[in-house]
Amino acid sequence: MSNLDTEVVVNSPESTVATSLWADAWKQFKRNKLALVGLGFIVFVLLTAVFADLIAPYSITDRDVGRSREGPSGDHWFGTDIIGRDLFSRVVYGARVSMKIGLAATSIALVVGVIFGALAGYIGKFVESAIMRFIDVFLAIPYIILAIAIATVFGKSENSVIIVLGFTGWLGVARIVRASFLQLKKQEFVEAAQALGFGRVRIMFRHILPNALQPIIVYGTIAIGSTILSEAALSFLGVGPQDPTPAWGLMVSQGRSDLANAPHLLFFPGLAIALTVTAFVFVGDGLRDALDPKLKDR
Amino acid sequence: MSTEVLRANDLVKHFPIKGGVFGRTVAEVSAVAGVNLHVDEGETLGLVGESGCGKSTTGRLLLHLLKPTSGTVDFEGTDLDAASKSEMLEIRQRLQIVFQDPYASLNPRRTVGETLSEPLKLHLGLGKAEIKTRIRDLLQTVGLSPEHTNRYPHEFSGGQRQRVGIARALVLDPRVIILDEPVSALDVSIQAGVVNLLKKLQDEMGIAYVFIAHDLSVVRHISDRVAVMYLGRIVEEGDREAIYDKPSHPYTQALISAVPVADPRRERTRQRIVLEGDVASPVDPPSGCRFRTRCWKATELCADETPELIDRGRGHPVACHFPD
Amino acid sequence: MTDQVSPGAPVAPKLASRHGSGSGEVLLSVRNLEAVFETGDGIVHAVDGITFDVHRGEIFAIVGESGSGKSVSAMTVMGLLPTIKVRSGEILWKGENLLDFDENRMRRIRGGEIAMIFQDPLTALNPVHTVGRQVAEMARIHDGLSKKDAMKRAIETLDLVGIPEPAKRAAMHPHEFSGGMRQRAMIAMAIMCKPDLLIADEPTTALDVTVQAQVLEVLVDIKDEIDSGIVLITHDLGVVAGLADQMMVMYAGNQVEFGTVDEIFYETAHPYTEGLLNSIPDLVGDHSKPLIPIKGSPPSLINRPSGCAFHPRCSYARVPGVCSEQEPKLRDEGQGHMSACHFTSVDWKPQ
Repeated sequence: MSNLDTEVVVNSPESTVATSLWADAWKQFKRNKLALVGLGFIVFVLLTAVFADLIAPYSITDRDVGRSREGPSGDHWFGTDIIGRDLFSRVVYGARVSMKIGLAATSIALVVGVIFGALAGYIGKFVESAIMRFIDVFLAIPYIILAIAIATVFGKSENSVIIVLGFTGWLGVARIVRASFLQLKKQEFVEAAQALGFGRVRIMFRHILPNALQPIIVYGTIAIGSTILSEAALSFLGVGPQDPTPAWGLMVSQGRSDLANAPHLLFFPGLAIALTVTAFVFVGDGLRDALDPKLKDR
Repeated sequence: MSTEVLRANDLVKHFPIKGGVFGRTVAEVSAVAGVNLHVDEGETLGLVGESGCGKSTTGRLLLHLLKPTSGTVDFEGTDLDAASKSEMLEIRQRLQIVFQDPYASLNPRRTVGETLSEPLKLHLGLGKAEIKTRIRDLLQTVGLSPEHTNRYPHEFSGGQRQRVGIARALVLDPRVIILDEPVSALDVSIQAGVVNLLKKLQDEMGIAYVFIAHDLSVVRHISDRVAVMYLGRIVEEGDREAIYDKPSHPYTQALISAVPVADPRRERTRQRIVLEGDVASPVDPPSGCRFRTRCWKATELCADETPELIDRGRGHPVACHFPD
Repeated sequence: MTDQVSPGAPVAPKLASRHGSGSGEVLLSVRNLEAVFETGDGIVHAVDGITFDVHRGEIFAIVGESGSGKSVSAMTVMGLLPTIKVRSGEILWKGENLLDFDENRMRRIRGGEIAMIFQDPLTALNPVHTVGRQVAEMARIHDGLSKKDAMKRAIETLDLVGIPEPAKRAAMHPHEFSGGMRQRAMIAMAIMCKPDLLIADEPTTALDVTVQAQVLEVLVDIKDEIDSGIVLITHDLGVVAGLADQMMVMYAGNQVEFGTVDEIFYETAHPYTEGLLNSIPDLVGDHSKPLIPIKGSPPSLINRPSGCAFHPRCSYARVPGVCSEQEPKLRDEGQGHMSACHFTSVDWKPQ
């Protein structure tokens, strides 16, 4: 009977350090140069937003009377706007506005989207049909119209934009989450949890969701970028924050009218938008490759 | 005096096939078509059959992971369908499952410790210290080191993962474990270790097993009684000697005859029954006896009258009009 | 278990009468083949010095568990692994070294002279094309037949492998076939150009056991019909016992034992082979005898154990300094029965 004791496993798992899947992903991510550049830029923008008070030489309302629409100079690195305000400072503070809107709106979209997507994917049947039809209907409405409607009701401000983008953004998230849940709920570890009598909510959010994070993270990252772009569009159309709030989109709109004489008014905020959005796209791409278990170059 | 712990009564499970624009049910897969079986305390019932025979579906029905289209499952006398939510929660502690795929059956985002401690926390409300002790003992029982508590599934080999799966099934002290192809995905030399472990656990803890597998050699090694399934029905059921040494049903004979044996001289002189044709589709199964399309004894009677699974004088139930 | 078969049951002819004697010409001759993968994590020693011959009319089995290198070896012979680096050795096909062939010549060999049958016909067959077209394609490419002639031959071949109503079936798609029929279709595809050698990589592992019996029948029939050799790669020792003439056992990329089937099963010379045989549950015999697993798990092919790759798991590695330090070479146990163990079976087997 001593042979039965040889069943005790002789060797431990090959790694002596518990490698988490995140550490692995970070290693992969670092190999992507573009993604690192993007990440660096985003960190830079975040720091700018946080320390705007220290970086900006002027406030957003300071007017240098008599020096309006001037190009870049020693005193005003980005020049001045139509009423003499320092463009550089306004762009710097604009980072705060954009980041706030981008992060807040995306957060709302993710939370709401995950909840509805999980319910649709896991519970299925009537709940799924109802949610998916609802999403289909709302996706058919151009968000600009919704934005205008909400702005009319809630007033034109940063918060209106956040509400609009958050509550239109969740639709796309829900679709992705539903697809993930549909696939994951067939996995045996979910059956095991059911066999252990765990409730549906626990299974959805403590068991399945951690496995569904990959696409959500990737989508969310790129979504921050596109939210900033959308905010710019809404501000440009006048549905977002109003003057003197230094929203980049609003500044682009304001700069549009004087394009011939003062191109810098459109150029610098426009550049800020373009670089920031592109950075998020690079990071999102990098994350997708880093988190995809099949793309490991082992 | 053996007590019955699990019983299935006339279990039937149909899966609808939806089609058309409105998703109407256009056809049905008759996966399980009237299965009766029982398991006594501490014994192993082997459930064998080839793909599509319905054994996995039966396993899920026994656990109430799937609701039967008709028929009932009784665990320790309680009808699983009629049980209340709290009764069901209690039953689930004592009726557990081990899955086939060691890679998919563990949550990749949870450490072994987390996977094992969760049921202890939720069902028994144990404290941290007590949980730690239990898990340590449990891991040792299944042949793993307690150091492995903080590891993730991807850091283990297939055989080790399967042991974790077994530990999970054991964590709440079950009376019955349904094992759905528990060693099929493992290498042969690793299978042996896991099978030995299962036998040891049964001897020490008196757990009953329903061992679902297609590998007849493994089933013979571990089962006390065996039920052979074909296209959703049990065609023969008996103890180990009856099924392996004196099979009566033509399908059982063909099945056993087809299994290769690791003995060259024996293989060279064996007479092997080779069945014609393919397994019929469970969507449109043959009338009467479902095996008749491949059976060399088939007559009109077989098409007209479905043979019942009863004792026809061989000492164990056979579902055939012309058993040997 | 009884060998008495119910009267009237459709019984296959005893395999003994159809065993090849292995005395045909030598078709494939692999000598000391060593091949590795270079990866970011290190060098993977996938094939570490294997040597064997395959004769016309013979069934040669390569047996091993997952990670043993059996499939990689076959794929290397076929030149189907672009990332593998052959470090040394030769692959002689009818006297010529395949490693010297350029891709064009290899392509003509593949399918034309050496054909491969894979484990999962569902993924090996193109779901978009009809089965007939895929089978016929072989003849069009290798023998230059016209579309019509190729299809004609395809239907004949489908009939040869036992597919009922072959003309009708040729017009169907793979997903409309059952597993067993798909595998027959793959065999048909493989033999279209009457290859001299068939390499079957786990051809029946994914099939039900009754279907497996059918397909193995077909394989042996076909071998006789076209007078080819077969290299059968599998982990199933039962299948090997019934079919193969000569065989070799692989572990961690190494060839640990080589010989006739009877020698390997009845005069086992290597502890790993013995471990394998002891861990298999029996369909006959004493069911209460415990199975004896091989403790531990197969090693990483990047960081292999020093000395004998099997020594950490070997119940007999008693002599310190030998098994753990020196790599064993293949030794002749008698009449060409080779074993890669420092000790002869007389020495390591318990009395």
